[in-house]
Amino acid sequence: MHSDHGEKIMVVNNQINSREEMQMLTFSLDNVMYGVNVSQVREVKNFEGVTPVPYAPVYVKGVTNLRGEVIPVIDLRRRFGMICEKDENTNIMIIVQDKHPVGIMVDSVMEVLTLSKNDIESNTDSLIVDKSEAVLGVAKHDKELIILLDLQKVISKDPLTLKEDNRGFQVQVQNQPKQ
Amino acid sequence: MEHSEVKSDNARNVILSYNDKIYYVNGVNVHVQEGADKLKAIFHAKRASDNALEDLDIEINQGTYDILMEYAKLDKLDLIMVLQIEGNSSKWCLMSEDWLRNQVNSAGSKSYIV
Repeated sequence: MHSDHGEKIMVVNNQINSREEMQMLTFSLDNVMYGVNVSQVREVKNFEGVTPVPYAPVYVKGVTNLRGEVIPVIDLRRRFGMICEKDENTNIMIIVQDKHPVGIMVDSVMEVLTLSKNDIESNTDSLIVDKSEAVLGVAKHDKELIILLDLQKVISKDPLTLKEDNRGFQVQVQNQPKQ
Repeated sequence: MEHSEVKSDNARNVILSYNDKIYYVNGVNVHVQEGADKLKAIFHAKRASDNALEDLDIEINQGTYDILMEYAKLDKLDLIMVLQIEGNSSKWCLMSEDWLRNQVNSAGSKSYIV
């Protein structure tokens, strides 16, 4: 009986594996839906403001206090090179990068979806991603398309251009009347 | 005294060649005095060789001031601005990164670093 029961469980597990389903946490950014493997996300919190850090890369919104721990918060919109500014109704997804928590600012976190790998287009030849490796593929769900991301690669410096560290420029002018 | 500011989040740091060193400049404070030929400017810079931060006190002419303002207003990530200041003279160059990449990738061309 124990053996049979054990085999049965194995079969069920194999069926799950053969169906190759993924649980993705979905979120929106500029009305586009993105998905990230739930295992990459530790928690989600509301955006409660961040403290800007001088000379930080432009995509680093600042730092925030997470239960006594100071963590960096990355503005995903800027990380993607999107220009428009929008800080309302935002969520922060907390992920862990090299054992350190990092906050990722998005418009809103939606829901956890179970997606079959059959619904995922992961042929990068048909995706314009320029070797970033951060885009795992595009999933079809109902009539929506969901861009699946590897958040670890999105926030790591390497695959995306290093030059972003050198972004931002301003000119301040003081006009002095003739003495 | 009047203050004004043009801030660009998308423009890259200006690449500055000054006193035989290369810097990345993320901001310039300019003191404009009526009737003066030269403008006092402080370049907030990061030395490329060792990332040391420096404030460079440099006098610039009206032309350099104008192009710095225009570069900030353009607010384009694709543009790269290189500025060379030697003594009283300055030269600048504005390039498209896409164009540069195409030059490097085209057959027979040599790679180079900006």
